[in-house]
Amino acid sequence: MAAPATQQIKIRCNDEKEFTVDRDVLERSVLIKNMLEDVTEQQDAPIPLPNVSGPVMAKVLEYCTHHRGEPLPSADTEQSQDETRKRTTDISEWDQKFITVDQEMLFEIILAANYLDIKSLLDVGCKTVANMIKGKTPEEIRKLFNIVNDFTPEEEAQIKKENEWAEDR
Amino acid sequence: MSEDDRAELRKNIDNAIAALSERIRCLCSSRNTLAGINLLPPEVLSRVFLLVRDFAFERAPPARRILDWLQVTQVSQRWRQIAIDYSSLWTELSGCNEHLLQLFLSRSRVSPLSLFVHVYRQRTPLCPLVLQYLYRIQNLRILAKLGHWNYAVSDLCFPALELKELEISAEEAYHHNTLSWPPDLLGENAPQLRRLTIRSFPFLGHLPIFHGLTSFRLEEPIRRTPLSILLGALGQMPNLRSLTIKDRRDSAIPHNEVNVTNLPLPIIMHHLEDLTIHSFAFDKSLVLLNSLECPRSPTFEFVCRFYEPNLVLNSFPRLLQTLQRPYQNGMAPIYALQIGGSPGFNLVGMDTHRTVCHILLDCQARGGIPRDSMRNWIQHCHELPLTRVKSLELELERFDTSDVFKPFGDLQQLTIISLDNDQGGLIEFLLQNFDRHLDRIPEDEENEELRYVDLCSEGESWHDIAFPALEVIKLHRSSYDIRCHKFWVQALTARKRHGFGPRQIILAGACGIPAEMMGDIQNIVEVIQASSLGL
Repeated sequence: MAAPATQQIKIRCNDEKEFTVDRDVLERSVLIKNMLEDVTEQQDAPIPLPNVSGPVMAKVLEYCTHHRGEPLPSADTEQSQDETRKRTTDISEWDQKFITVDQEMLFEIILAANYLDIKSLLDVGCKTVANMIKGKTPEEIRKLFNIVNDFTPEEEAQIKKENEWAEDR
Repeated sequence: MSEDDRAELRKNIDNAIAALSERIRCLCSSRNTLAGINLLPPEVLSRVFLLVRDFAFERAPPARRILDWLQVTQVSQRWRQIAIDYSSLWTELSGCNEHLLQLFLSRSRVSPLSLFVHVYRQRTPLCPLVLQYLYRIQNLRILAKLGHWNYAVSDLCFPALELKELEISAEEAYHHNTLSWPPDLLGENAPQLRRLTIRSFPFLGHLPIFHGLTSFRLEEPIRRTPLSILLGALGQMPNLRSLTIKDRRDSAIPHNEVNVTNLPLPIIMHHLEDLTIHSFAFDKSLVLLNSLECPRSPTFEFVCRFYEPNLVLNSFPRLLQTLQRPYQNGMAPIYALQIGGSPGFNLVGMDTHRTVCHILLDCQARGGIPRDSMRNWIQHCHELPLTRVKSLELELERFDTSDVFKPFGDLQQLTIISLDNDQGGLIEFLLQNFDRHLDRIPEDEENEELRYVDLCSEGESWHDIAFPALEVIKLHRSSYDIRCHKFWVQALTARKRHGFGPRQIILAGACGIPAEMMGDIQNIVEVIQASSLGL
């Protein structure tokens, strides 16, 4: 007997771009998974995703397709990670290649992962940003992200004091 | 114009400057809202900050850990506010001095704390902190020298309601019998305690607070726990998932023929997944193994290392499945290897535990490794399945680099090289043989020697090396002669070309920078010339 065909789901992004995707790929997103579980009858209307644009969704779907079938991180996993203090900034080779995009797209992907509740993708995004920040001075970080110093003199004084404390070991 | 008029005018101008400054600052803040990264909501940005902090604690040299991650609080008002509001960011108290402690404690608000204290300095503010905030501490690790032990632990008699992990280690305690626990450890009230490690410290036996443990590690080179007490205590830890018992190596030599005919009362452990018995007295080990009953345990991995290689462990009727891993076996691919060395340099055991493998060497004494011993070891290496090793950790006093690396054809990551004297020309070797990224050379606080080198493969050739993460290069002593120049000159050149690289170079001893190189170091934030440099 032939295996049942995978259910296909339609989604519509905020730029009207539509995608038709296998359900198990889309269910990497907890938001969409919950939506689908709430719908009892099959609907043809696409699921609207007002916070994600087409190009970003294409990247997100590339990630979800690559990681389809992998177990979703549970609350237990997070807790055990916390217990063993094993948070690291390591990123797998594929993920690293996937996330090698310009800053604008990187932040869009992170925002989409946050909105769609795809924890592993959010992790990859956050780790990438953390890797960009680590080891840099505040000035280097500002330059990297096009930020300017907007501290008040009082805040500058407090920062100076904290730095002195951190250096005094 | 009178002096009064001038003062008034000056005041007005100052006020105007202040108002303009404030206006400019507000404009800067507005401009910052347009930065792409500031589109990220606070909960995402704070998650990034936490990763930066953890990375600093994982990889940065101890003296720079806090400084490193504090940078995120010094970028802009928004970042600072998000960081300050995120209480979990301020929970890692390890390495804090008193000022920082106060700051971190207040900013961490009610979040659970994590603390590692190495009590070897009088100024270590352990006691007041532990006592005052014990109720909030989630992870507590204390390493104390004998002279400070009572100061460190004897007052641990207050409830620790959040404590999940407790590790207590004594240094230099081998010949002392004066160590003792406080009478009411943690006020007998630590309901969350799950992981307990006791190292070089006498074990009390069972306490009600140990009942919920899921991980128990006991290393006891002094005042060995009587077996009956140990078995009794284990019998009261029904939720254990991981049990490690370790003793001095010589304790594992069996003196008598052991024949367990009468099984002791069973210790039922439904959840036990990992059991490691390392150099524990053989007769005791047999009794222990025959006591354990793991009715629901899935694949049960038992790792046993004994000093005498010819001993074969027989069946243990109460274990569901025993997978014995003797040393020098080739059953599983080895991905990581840890090597320690000493003049004795006896290969005493190897185990594979998940994906990590250790070769254990006799480390009873410290000193240089004779060349011959190294050659012997290399021969061993050729018999071992080392070609899949991706990560190598070396801790050797002296070694010939090229010999060491020969067996590791696919090495991708090299961590923690600890050496006193680079007899084999490590730097030269790295330059010639590794297409790797040098990630960092952190300092070693105590010996002020080059101690650690971390290499991470990025798949680029050595000539294109960019050193994106390299922070500090610290070169000491005359053994790092012109060869090491090649190394940091690469780093400097890369910085010039790519715009990043080491920010600090510390030179000491006979290491000098040739004058013609000075042009290349203009982007380096700091060059510390320790002594007699040719700058």
